[in-house]
Amino acid sequence: MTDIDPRGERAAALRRLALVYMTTALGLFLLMGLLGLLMRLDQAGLFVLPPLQFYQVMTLHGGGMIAMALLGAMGGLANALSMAISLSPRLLWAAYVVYLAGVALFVIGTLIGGFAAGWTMLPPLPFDPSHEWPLWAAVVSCIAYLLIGVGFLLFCLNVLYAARRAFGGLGGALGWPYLFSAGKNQASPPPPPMVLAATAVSIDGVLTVAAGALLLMAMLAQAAGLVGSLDALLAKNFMFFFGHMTANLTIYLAAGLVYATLPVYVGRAWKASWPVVLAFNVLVVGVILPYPHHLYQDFVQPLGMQIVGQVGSYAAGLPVILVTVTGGLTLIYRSGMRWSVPSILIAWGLWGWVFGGIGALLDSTIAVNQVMHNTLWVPAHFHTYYLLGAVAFVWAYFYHLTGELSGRHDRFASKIAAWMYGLGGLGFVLTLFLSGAAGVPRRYAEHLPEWQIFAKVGTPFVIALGLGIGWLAVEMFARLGIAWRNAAAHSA
Amino acid sequence: MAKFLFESGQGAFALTLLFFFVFSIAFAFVIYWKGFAAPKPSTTDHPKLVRTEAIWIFVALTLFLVVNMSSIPYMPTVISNALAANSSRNHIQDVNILAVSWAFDISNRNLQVGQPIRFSGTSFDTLHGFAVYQPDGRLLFTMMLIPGMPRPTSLIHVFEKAGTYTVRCLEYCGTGHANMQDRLIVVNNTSKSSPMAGSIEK
Repeated sequence: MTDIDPRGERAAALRRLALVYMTTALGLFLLMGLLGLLMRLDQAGLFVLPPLQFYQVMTLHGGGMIAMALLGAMGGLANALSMAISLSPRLLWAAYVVYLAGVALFVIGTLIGGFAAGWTMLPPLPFDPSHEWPLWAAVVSCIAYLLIGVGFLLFCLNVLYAARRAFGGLGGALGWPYLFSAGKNQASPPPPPMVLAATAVSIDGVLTVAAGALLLMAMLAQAAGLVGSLDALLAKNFMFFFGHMTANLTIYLAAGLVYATLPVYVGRAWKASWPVVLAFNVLVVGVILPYPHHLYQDFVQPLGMQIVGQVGSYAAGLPVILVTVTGGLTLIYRSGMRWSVPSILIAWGLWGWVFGGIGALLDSTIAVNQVMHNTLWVPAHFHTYYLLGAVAFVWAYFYHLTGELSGRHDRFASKIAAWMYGLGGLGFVLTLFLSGAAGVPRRYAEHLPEWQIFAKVGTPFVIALGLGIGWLAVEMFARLGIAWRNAAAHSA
Repeated sequence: MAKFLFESGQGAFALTLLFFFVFSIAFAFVIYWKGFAAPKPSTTDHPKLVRTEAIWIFVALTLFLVVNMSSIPYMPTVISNALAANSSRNHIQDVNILAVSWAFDISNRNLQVGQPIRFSGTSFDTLHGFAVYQPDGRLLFTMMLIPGMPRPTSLIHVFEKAGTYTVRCLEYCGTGHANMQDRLIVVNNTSKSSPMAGSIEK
């Protein structure tokens, strides 16, 4: 750990890298958010998008938001980790270029090419000749996902290499000496929680990118006529292994940012306790298991896979959510926490993570899923733990970082904006949950008149959310120039 | 209670709201009253906080275990096994479905209350869903139709009420997805009704 120097060139480069990653993520969020608003207006009957355009927008919104959240979490954590492990800025810049090329290709494939197979692009839909987008648009979109996957892979490999070096192996980076001594081995204290989070996510990140790349290569080979049609059920398994895990890992990566940010505002150190170490070790295996909950109604799949999906969903989410949220609350308890934008966003994030997690766990219960599958309950729960969970954590860290680097602090209006973000998000997701409970299908370009009330009520909340994050974005963007200059010397 | 939770979307929503209120009150208490409004440093010793954390985790794990265990009788496959044991082979009526973008070809749309019906479906082109909505608009059950499988997706259901049931595709299948709909007409059985009810997978 001799090259860990917060005032060194490497740390300065990582601060700048974090600014670029997170600025890009915020820009993407605003654009993809506008697309989301368009869809909700369409479903409210207040604006008409023709079906093809609706599904193009839906495809871009889904893929773009996942890519945005992952990019922001990677950037923020790369900087936060620089206090503990030595990441390579050069490799992370390469990852950024590859990743951004993937995002750009996805925009081209959807908006110009008209690709509209949904962000999950389940085979054989992308290359089905009866659909209205050209072959090249599907090919470009597959290549886009491949590049995004490669960008994520470079980040994961970088983390694993650096963590291994810093803690004498991956076991050390996962806190095994401490874990297996039941917390009694004081000679080997556990790594900081954000290192545990980054290591656990990176191990599974390599697996998920490998599975995704295999499927995407097979899809491209099919498009080129090199192989026959793919087995639709096997391809669905691979796609959800890739897609579900990538989305899931993003949340845990963003949780690492809470460990880095919250202590600053409560004035207490957040050390890895034994339950925290155990939770992240359980996560390494647990996060692999839940994806079959996307296939409960594929009754040709063996029953065992469905049971693994239900048990795995509980096993993956519970330990980290419980440990992080209760750990966060005990850290806040009578701390005299500074009430500022990052702490407000983290409070929303901890709350949203639990609430979204409960919605997700209920939906992953096979009996409940039978009356919820592919209704708006599904976007309800993932919007809750993304918008009011992982993404709130990313904005909290970004606001904190730009504040520290620029020396500019939040004002009263900034705090109002942070509350608007949370309250707007809350109203929005509650209308989605209500829609799901009423059986309203997801991914419908046209909503029946009796369904439109949910979107009509939800739309003002989306606008409030947009105004809140819009205000904060203007502040963060305005700080960037001075933050960039100060990044070279600052030790934030 | 379990029937309400597992057989209607409103049940899950009610439970989510319950968590919403209970958790939100506890959360607001800690965040606002003990986090922001009590600026004095904590005098609570760390072991006490760790003990509180352990109790909360134990309670939450127990609750989730109860939800999991109580859901087992409502799993489609478990119901299937129970009903299959009580159904003679000849008693089950077969309805075959072929999905093509963006329509269903259903071998029989006129069904009877109390009659166990085996829905078996496949797809000609891409993945489709076969979701049956009750006359009051709530989702009753869903199954996926997959192209190229050696055997169809199959599910047995016994309708409890007469009425017009709407069939919708619930797996995104392209630009005509929202218009991919059909209907099942369920009428009261003129002969003695079967006491069996529920949906089963075979």
